[in-house]
Amino acid sequence: MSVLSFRDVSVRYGSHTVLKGVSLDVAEGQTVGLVGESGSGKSTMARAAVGLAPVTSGQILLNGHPVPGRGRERPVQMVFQDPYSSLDPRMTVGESIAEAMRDRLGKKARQAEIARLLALVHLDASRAGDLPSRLSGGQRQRVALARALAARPEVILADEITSALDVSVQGAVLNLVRDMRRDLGLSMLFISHNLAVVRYVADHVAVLYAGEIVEYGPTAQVLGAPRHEYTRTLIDAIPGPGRSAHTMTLKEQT
Amino acid sequence: MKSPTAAAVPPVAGLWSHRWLRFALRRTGRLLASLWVLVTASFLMIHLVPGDPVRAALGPTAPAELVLAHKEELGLLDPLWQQYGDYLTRLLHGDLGVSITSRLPVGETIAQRLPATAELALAAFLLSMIVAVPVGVVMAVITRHGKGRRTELAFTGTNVVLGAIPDFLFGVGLVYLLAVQTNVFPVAGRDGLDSYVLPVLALAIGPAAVLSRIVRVEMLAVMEADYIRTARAKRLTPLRVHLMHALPNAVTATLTLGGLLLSSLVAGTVLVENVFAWPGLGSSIVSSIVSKDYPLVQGTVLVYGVGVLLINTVVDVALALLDPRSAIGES
Repeated sequence: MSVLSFRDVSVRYGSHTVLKGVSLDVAEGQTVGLVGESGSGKSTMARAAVGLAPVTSGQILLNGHPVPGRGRERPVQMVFQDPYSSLDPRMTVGESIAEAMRDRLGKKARQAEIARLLALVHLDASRAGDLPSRLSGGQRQRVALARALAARPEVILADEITSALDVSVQGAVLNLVRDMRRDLGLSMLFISHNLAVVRYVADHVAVLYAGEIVEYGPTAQVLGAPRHEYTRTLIDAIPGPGRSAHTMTLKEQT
Repeated sequence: MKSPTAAAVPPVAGLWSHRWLRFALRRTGRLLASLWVLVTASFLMIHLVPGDPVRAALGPTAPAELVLAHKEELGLLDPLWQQYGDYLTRLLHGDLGVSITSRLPVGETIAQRLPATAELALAAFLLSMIVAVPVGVVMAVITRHGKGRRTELAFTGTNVVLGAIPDFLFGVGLVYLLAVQTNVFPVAGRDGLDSYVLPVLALAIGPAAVLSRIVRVEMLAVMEADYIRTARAKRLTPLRVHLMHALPNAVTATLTLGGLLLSSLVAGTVLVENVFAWPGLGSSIVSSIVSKDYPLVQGTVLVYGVGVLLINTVVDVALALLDPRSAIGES
């Protein structure tokens, strides 16, 4: 069964249309990679699902029903790109995590839950009292993931969550994402402009170009034998041995 | 064997306490230096201004011998540096001297009048904060992203006008409207709760206008921060996003400015007290300057100055506690 469904979703800011009737399903327990160049509308899709971008037309459904906008049920959670600015600097790690919790817990139960969530993202429970300023970028992104998990979500939207991190830390966070999916059975929309990262974590890939999905399929198929010219351009843009990087886009070619 | 975490804690704590110690020493040093400047400046200003305090106190018909005898008694015939030395020595012993005009100890006069001024300034400060913070927050929410253009224009316009009018003019206007014309509140004096309304309003309107503008601007800036977007993505209620995430982060600048405004409020009491014949330090300092009552002027200026310095120090400490990086981190 499909968990998160985008049905002909359009998002428009004034006269500028960012998403043009996009449809995409994220099935239960599946990680769908969403790739595309900057400005293609990747982040807008995720933002629309959590109410941060206005849906002009179409629907975003969770198990066939509109995503709840208010109340304690927050089944769709988003993790943002920049771990340095996405956590409230005045809230301790524990407070940030506790705020997102679905159930109102007593003090002891809350502390135990915070410790459990921190353990899930491989952080020591003693970190709960720290302010974000005392953590490294990788640790902050782990806290952001724990914060998202606190709401016991069905779907996590990960928006470029490794791109602000050092390469050495990126690997650790990606492994964590894979572990979380395996252990918790989470569905995930994993947004990235880095195809290597998407290849590592995603089962399926959707390629977004100028507000439209131009290709969708299993990761190995889309990245191994791309059918759409834009996907091939994206793959060609990956720097590698014996290959010069070029970042020409379809717009520039035409 | 100790765990790595346990081993790491003491040096960090030591470093922090060391930083706090340096901060406290730095602040105390500045406070003492400022006090010395204040004492010296008030002494020099009142002594270098032309005029004869004893003649003013005894009247124009007093015999010259009597005036001379009084001057000698008060030490006013000594060289200025000696008078300054004596004044400092007495001050260090907690002696503010005796008023030339009333012959009462200055400390006693100040102790009588200080509560009235402190009440006025504190009430005006609280009122301006109570009004400015919610108004600033609400205006930020209403006028965010170019919404409510007319409301924003009306708010900014009113704000600029109210912020530019001196507090004693508010005082005169309020007396005319609410006391003389309508008899709602007493014209002057300090007798009962209703007598506080007009002077407190006169003192609070300007600071409330300035502060609400700052709160709005700070809130607008904070509401664009990524962690607010995170809070909204958590699907928290707008009230919680604004009160729990935006406001605490916007409060640093508000508190800094609030402290400065309280300082200016303390100074503002001098004129407002005279408008409302308020029996505080403000009305006493004006009359003592006119009569060149050296000890009373010096004592009152010192109390005002210490008040302002203490407020600034409290704000600094509060800021350091709220945002340790800003104050403790400074070299």
